[in-house]
Amino acid sequence: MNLTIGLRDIGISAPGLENWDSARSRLRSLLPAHAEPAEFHYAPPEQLPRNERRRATRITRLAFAACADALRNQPADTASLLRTVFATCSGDMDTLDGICRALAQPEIALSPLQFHNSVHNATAGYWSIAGGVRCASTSISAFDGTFAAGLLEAATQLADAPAQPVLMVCYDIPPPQPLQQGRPVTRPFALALLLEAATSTGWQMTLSAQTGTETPLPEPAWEQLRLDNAAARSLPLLRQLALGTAGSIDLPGASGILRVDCTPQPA
Amino acid sequence: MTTPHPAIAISAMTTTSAVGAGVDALREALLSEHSALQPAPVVQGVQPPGYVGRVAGLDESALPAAWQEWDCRNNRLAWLALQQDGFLDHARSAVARYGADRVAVFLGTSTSGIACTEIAYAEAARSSNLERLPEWYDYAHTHNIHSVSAFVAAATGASGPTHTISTACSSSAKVFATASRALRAGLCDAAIVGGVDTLCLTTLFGFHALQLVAPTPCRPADAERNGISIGEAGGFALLEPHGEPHRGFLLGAGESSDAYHMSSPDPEGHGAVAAMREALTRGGCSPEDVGYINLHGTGTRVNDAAEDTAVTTLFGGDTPCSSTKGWTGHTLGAAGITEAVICLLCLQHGLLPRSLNTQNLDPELRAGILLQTEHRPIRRALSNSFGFGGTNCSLLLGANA
Repeated sequence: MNLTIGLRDIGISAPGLENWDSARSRLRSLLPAHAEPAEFHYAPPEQLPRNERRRATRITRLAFAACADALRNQPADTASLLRTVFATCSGDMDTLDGICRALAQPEIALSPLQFHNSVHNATAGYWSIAGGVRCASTSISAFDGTFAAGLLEAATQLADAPAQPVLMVCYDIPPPQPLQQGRPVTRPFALALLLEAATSTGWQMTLSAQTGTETPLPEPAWEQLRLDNAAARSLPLLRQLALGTAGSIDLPGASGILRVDCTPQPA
Repeated sequence: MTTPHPAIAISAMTTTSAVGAGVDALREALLSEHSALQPAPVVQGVQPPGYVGRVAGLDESALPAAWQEWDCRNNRLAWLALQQDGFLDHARSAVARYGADRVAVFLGTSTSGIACTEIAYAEAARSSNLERLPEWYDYAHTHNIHSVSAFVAAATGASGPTHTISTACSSSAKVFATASRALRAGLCDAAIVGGVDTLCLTTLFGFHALQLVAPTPCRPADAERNGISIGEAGGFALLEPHGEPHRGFLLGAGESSDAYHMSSPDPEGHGAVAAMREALTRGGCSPEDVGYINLHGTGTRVNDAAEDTAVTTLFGGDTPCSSTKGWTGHTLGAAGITEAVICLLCLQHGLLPRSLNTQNLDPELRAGILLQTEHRPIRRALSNSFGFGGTNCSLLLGANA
């Protein structure tokens, strides 16, 4: 099998990689300096009504920032026309920690807010409310293969309905203690890809199933980041896109390797 | 423009819920009108509220040694369900026929094995150190959302595309839509779809916090309905475009979002209408072709009212419909597969189950809710699954293509 899709734009949100425009040069050079995750600001999403804005947790803020970045060059109502794929390995670990702490108390008291924020598709729900989006949306996990799975899911949606672009966002946050002992992610990372049917003028990505090993990053600190967070498994692909040259990236899937052959837009 | 898709053969299916293991147990329960809902038992040393649909024997049935690392209540139910109706053999036979990498696994769950994390936290709290989880705790193989699909892929030998869909109570309906896209795109030749969700304190107390748990067994569509009864279930279907349609066909799937509220459905049901309409269009059907609708029908005041508005907008008040949650409880992330299997059984046996536990039909509801079980052949059935976050999915199933 192989599927070819087009890429219209990219968004990113992570410590030191606050948006795609500033991240590009860092991805090209792979300079080793990282911003500290403790200094990272999870901005309340301006897209949400005041009540929901207050209720949106760190993970939703992170995912929204990447989505907003990917849509920065689009007309204001674009979001309402897009199907969405929300791909996160672990979902809202802050909320899940809060719930499990509450359940371990002698008198159990969960809040309604805690519970509805705990569902894996909570961020998708906020996104739908924020943009008045009634299009189909899915929320998935494929553990460390979550990014590749999200890309493949978006590609099959485009194969079915080429006229309607898909916004795919992949995101994970570092869990609080003690949950971090079970899932030792230390840095937040989110990226969003505005995907469309392949065109003759834009980036093209051809996806195919492969065997073999995943493409690493050549610089140790960046390789460490790639392996830290399931969403950061996208970094070799993002670097290829930042370099602006044709290339082949092997991403880890939940079962085998997903190869992405990238062809840049004509100069 | 929405155009019809080719029908996809369903070659095997199975379901296990509180009514029993396998499709025969389900059919017998539907015929005998036996509800499996019982007062909630003590779970992990805690007394939850309301009634539940609980699968018997899971506490005593650890996974086989080869898969010990996956052991948790959710994967135990997955394993129990896989062994019913010869499903494991059907799945392994597909793997042998098409090649392991040509068989996909797409499963739905809302909470996966979160019960393990609940237990780990409780254990840590008892030892007065909530900053240190016990040594046995294994997040990746239990709690993580993808654990159930990874386990089922390992158990069946399938190594094609896989991910887990977790969109609350529409999860295991949406797997049919995802799998049909993957099949049409040529990513695989067969797909194992389904879903598993098990009782855990998170959902039992979470729905209670929202005041949505009924103190009595749930009574969908009843004038006095007062909430849900949570159930657990696991089920699977094998989709094979070039296989034998022993169990029927997936004709169409429709998906939409409400853009309304995080935990309440749009009272006007716009999103639900859009999902049902897309399922019909993809299946090349009009509303009058549908002989039975299995409602999401949770038994909360707002869900049943909003769904009634949506159903009557599209179908008027004559299409027979019912919620079957009075039998199984609301099995959350497993509701989609449970009720798809119910629809396929109804198509196969000409059975239209009544709305169990509905004593006084809410006069505000105008859909054709069945107060008596009927027996007559039907060709098309629709199954609705809606969830938190405003996620909607409808499946159109058929006895023939």
